[in-house]
Amino acid sequence: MHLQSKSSSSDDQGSASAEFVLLAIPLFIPVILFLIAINTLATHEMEAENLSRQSLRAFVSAQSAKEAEMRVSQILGQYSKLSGSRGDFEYAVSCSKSNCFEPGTLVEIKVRKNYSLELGFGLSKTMLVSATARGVVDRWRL
Amino acid sequence: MEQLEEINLQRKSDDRGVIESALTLIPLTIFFLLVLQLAIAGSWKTIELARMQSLANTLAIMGNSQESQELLRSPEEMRGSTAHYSPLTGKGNLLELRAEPVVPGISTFIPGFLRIKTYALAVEE
Repeated sequence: MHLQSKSSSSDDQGSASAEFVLLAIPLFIPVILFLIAINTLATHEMEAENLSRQSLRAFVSAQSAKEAEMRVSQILGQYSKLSGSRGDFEYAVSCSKSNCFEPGTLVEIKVRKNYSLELGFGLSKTMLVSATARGVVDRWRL
Repeated sequence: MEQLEEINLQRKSDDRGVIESALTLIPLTIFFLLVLQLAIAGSWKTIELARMQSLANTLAIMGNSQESQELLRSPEEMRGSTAHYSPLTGKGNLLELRAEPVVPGISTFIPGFLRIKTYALAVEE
């Protein structure tokens, strides 16, 4: 009886680490995917923030509505090309006065983009990133 | 003699499971290190993106001055990034900064193993 017990305990040696691996890896993979997803989201948020700021500068320094639209589209298009991102950025502009280009007008530009967040195992979720920038049309513009 | 055999048997039974442990622990350690490298790569990309955006904004504010030219020539500031100016509709320029920095970690031992692409845009008025 005593011998049998000793034998079974020696058979179990090394199985603890195997059990740990079997438990740890399936629990670890979602953590990795979550980390990657959070990092991707942070990067997209930073990109949107910078793009909204640059688009605003391009908008408020334009001479006309048509030129402003072309400048903003050029910036967003160029960034999409650079990053090779799928889907385009969208933007919306609102002004405190009817004429957006009147000196002293407060302009608000909102940049948004839908992107697919890959969760692994063929799962993906569509996420929306958006950023808003506000600025005033220069009072002493040339 | 019998005592020696008994000691040998005892040693053998003590060694049981050692190979199994090594077979699981070594790949697990490698796996952990790779995950750590992935986490570093993600964070590194965010850091580099912030640095590039800051550099692009600085260059855009400086405009076409001597200081900006010095900054463009400074390897400490540019850290391998390249600048490209293209005319923006109307007036001003669009500054593009591109870089492909190496992520620290395993890539120190394998040159060019992990590279991340970062970009930044800024409007130069």
